[in-house]
Amino acid sequence: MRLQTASLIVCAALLSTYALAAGNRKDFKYTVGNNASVNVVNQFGSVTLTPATGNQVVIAATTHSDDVEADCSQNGNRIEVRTHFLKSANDSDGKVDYEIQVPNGAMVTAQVASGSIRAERLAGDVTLKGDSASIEARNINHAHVHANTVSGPITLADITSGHVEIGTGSGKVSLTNVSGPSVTVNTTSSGINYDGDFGSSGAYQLATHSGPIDVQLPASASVEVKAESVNGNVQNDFPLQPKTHSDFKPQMGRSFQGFANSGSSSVNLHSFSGTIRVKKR
Amino acid sequence: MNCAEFQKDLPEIIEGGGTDEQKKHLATCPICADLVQDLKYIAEQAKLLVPMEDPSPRVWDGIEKSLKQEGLWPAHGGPANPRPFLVPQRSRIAWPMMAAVAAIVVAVVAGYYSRTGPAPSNGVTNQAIASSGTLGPDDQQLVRAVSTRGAAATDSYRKNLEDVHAYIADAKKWVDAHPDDLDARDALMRAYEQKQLLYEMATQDWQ
Repeated sequence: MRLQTASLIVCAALLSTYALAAGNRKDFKYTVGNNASVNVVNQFGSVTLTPATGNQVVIAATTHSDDVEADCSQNGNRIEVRTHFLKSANDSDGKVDYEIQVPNGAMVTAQVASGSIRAERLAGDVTLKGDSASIEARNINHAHVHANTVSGPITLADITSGHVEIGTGSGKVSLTNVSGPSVTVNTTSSGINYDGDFGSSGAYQLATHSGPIDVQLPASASVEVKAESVNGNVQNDFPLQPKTHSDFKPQMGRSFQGFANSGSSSVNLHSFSGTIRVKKR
Repeated sequence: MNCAEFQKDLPEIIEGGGTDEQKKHLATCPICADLVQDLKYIAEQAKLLVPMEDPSPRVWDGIEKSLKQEGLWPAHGGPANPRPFLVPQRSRIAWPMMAAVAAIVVAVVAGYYSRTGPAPSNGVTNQAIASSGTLGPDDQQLVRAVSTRGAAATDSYRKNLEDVHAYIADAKKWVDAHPDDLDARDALMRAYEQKQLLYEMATQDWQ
């Protein structure tokens, strides 16, 4: 009998250990009105943002230890999601993974120190901030997309009609099919890669201190390009027509300027010591 | 006088030189001396902005956001649109611009100090901090604060701060060589934005 009880206790202990390792999931659901806002702060782990059906914010939070818990609350039209540390924890025990569905038009702010943030198919403004966390945003239209990291990579794809602002110290920036009235990227030491046609109009500014800038665009792109690397090199493999009546005096190997087709989008590429390459796709 | 008391009267000190007590503190505190030097440099550069075009809307958005975050925006809500408030006329562009940029720097530094406590008042300690590595004393203190997040984060911030200082130095050189070049001044603004980003991320409250 004693042996049987002991076996049961061991099994229960093993099961609870397994459950904690696999994660402890909690679900939250809030009904919101138009123009809701969702604010997420999570030090370690992932945040995944996808569209909800209807006017509900649906949150699935998975903790990986008893050191942390997910605090979710509603104040009117504002939803707050925050990881609460019950005691000091490292990035393994303090990890919380959030899967959050947000309704159309909701404004989302998500901050993760270490881990990842992924936002896709959203129909509202998003502000995503990471320390070393990676940021990925896809399929977002007619919205403001702001992304900042210290060292985490930032990947944006299929963003149309966006007001895009990206800033990072050393995280690699990759933009694929990103267009809109205003697209700005500013990095200190990391590279910037843009692959797309720059849309039908808009102002694009890709700037870095020491990272390379690589641009691939199709022959059909309607752009006016100005590229300058103060102490680095520029390489252009895209057929541009020289611009007349310009104050800008290009220097061979250091800068160039020109336009293609009707030049409807302005593209400004700037680096101090990185190489700038523009290629036809 | 400690750093917090000194920094409370920064605008008056920069404009008028300050009282004897403030001058004495300035002479012995590398942290405040560095801050005043930076603000004076920004003020000098801002004077060059008189004939330039308006900066992009994101600059104004950033200024408004920073002022709001730091509680410097008027309690009654401020003007409906910050742009005419900050840049009503071309002849008045330099001071509002300078004040705004200075406000951001002061706000970020003040926000940082309020989270990490006052700077050490011991002159010897300050001197030791200031002389270590290529980072300024405020940056050293920032790196120390970030060190609670682990070695990787500390190294990352240190490296990024060093890189951003190189960015600012290159941009300053470019502005000095081409004072009428709008691209050069834009680059300097971008470089300072990168430093601001690091301070914002370092002082983020995660818990």
